[in-house]
Amino acid sequence: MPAPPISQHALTVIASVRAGAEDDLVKLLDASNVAVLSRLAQVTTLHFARFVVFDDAVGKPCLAFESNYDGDIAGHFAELQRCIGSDLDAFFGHCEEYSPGSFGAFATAHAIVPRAYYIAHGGLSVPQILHDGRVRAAIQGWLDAADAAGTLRAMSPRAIALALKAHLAECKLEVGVVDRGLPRGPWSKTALYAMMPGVLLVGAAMAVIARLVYEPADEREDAEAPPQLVSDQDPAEDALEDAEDLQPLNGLTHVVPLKPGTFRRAVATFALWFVEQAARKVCYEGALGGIATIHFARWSLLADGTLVFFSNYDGSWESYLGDFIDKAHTFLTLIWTNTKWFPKTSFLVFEGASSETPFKRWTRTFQRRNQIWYSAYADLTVTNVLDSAKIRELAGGPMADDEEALRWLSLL
Amino acid sequence: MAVAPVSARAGGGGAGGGVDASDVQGVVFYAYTEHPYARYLFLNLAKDDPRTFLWLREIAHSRQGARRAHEAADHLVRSKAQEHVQIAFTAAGLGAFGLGPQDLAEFPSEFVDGMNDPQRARVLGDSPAEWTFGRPDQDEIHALLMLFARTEEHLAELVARHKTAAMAAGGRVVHEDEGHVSADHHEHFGFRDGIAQPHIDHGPRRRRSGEPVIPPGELLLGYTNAYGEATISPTARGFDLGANGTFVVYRKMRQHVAAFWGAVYDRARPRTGESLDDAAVRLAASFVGRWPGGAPLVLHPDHDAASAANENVFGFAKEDPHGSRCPFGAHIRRTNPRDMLAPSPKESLVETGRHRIFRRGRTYGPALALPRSAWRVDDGADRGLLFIALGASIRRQFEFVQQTWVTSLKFARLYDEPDALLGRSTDADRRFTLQGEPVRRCLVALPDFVTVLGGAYLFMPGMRALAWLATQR
Repeated sequence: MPAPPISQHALTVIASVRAGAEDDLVKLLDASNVAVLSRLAQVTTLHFARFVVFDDAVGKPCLAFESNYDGDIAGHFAELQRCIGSDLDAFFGHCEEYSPGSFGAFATAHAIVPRAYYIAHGGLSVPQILHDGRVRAAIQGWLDAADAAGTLRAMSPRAIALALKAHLAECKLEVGVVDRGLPRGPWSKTALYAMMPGVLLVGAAMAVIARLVYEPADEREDAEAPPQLVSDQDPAEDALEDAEDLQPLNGLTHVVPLKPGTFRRAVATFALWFVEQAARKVCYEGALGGIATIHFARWSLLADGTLVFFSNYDGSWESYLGDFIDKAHTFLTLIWTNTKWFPKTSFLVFEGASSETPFKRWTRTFQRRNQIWYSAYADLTVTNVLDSAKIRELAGGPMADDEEALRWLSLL
Repeated sequence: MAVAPVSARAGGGGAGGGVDASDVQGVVFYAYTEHPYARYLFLNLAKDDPRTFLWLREIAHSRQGARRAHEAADHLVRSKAQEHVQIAFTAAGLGAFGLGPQDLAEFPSEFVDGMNDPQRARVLGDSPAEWTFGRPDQDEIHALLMLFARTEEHLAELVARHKTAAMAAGGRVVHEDEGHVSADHHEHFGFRDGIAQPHIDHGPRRRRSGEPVIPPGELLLGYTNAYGEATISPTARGFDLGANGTFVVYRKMRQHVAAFWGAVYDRARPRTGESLDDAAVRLAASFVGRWPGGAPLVLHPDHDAASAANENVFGFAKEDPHGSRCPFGAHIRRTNPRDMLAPSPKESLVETGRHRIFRRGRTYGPALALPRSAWRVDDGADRGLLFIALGASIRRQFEFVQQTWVTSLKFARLYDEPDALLGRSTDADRRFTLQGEPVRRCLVALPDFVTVLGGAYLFMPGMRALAWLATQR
């Protein structure tokens, strides 16, 4: 395994689709789905990717490409060009100002830096994740065979561990610690906590202003013109459900316009800035706001006031939204209360995303169907990825005694 | 299609307000165990036929007696009644009373689509094309009549009466099941079942010790639910059709007793001095998470305990963090994870409280006599469970439990195994991991222990809604 830590990055390219070309593009993307997925599997540095067409805040159709990749952007462009170069030309050929073969330059010009970006398993490259999966599979295979042969019963934990280590060495599977380049020691957490008094002060001021001015205005507006949230019997929702749960992982795309005015934009910017700080400084190992099922997630704010959310998560939509409501409603409300038709909110953080039915209806209303969604490991949850990494890491230990061996064996 | 924003329904949703039990069909609160003889009739009704409306009017009228018994909230009155009749409808069944898609627009889509819909089948891990009833290509199920009696003779008479009435109204029985209340409430694998039931706050039934209290809106439409919101109660033609109603999930699950005990005996490993029979029971208990008598493994890891037959006050987080007593894939963890979910026991209890189901099922088919070792031989009899779950949201309760906990290969940090009892061997290698020291043991190549034979999603209206439905012509 390579020595310097690998870091993952987000690429978000959002480009305007030429007038009248939207239907063609959607058809092409849907028709290319299977072929593009198999070609993307050849990109060795790509965790997740998607192509999705949606209307921005002013109703203009856009094509978005999202990727989560290892290493530097130049290498990523080269890999994409090599594996799906002609697809990129065909897709972005429906966009304004695109000329074939220029994806790198075009993407650079149309790249949007996320306001908040979360990585659950930082420093674990795609090859590393797949390698860790092979290590675990080799261990499981050996244990199953040894168990069937009845040889395990007479062995001490240490003897089992050493035999397993020997088997891994025989399989030429490298084990041990890999430097993931994660924040070390308490400093990054302390840095976040040091910000908290200021964050709370600014947040409280915003909350009071919102409660006095903006939230009552929203409630009046909602009373006059009720939000047009889609029913679960809506055909659009049927199409979303049809594309979900085809494998253990799913990709959510959510596109909603901010409410007008600088106050809402300021609150959203502030909320996203804080989530970004938390993601970088505290929530870098497996869970964001108590939710342990998100691999990568990002919020991007477009110049016209469109707030775009991409996430790659484990399990069903119902369980994901349940987690939002049960565990992360406070910060999700702080972010999304600034957008159109969001459920009634108090002081920017209360009610909102904790109101189950309205929040789910609102989420579905602004959810968009991914035409193409790719995962390099659609059968591995965040927990699986991190547990396998831990198994590979501890496998590097000397197994000096039963205690150490048991610590490792208990993970299997 | 757009719907108005969700709003609390007047009357029913008041926090702390009592449940209008006199408007609720009895099986919602009671299992009717004093009426051990039960028949479930699935009817196809004559659509928009005056006889159908008349038939329902008769049923609604005859239910008034039960309703009075209910108002007394008196255990004796209820149990002395000779019979109980309960009724529920599929979406197509509501259509037989003239309610079109417009009228059903406020009903949840999973109910409107039905259990045999391809999307629902994917969520549930079902293969409806292989069912014996409720298949998409069969005559639609419109209504489910649940008939309960104190004696076998009375049930026969009750069933005959209702079949005659249904046929006179142009209806047909498309499927029927006979349900039993088994001795000590054991299901056919031999385990005491139905122990962990939630209790509805403000309901008429007395709370049993250890039952977690759940707000009434988790069971009945129009009341405050576990999110502090009023559960949506669908209106039709301006009438509050949902009020005091609930949804019913009916699933007939054949249990392959010989496959189960055969697999268990094949894989049982007696400890020193332990008989093969005892080792088999110990292994079987780890599939379930409870001993045959009901005692939970997390509290009684070594042997069954009669004193704990109804034990429902325990968690997993502190008692068994590594799954060495009760494996992570065991049935009782998956159907009710209690305090074991991330990120903390406290948050886990809140989460599980939002996905509870209310079970009113019974067994079907001939019971087996001990010893269990004889159960390895297939006697060819069809036996299993008539799984009946009630709840205010099929999607958030039954489907969620089935999809996220029971059939998920990823439950509780696992990689690739479904529920130990209900998992299907669609993949060549169905596994079940027994966590333990020095290292886990994986049971591999497990056969199916259970096969779903059919089912339906139904709506069980309140009494007033029943009367209203009968007069929509």
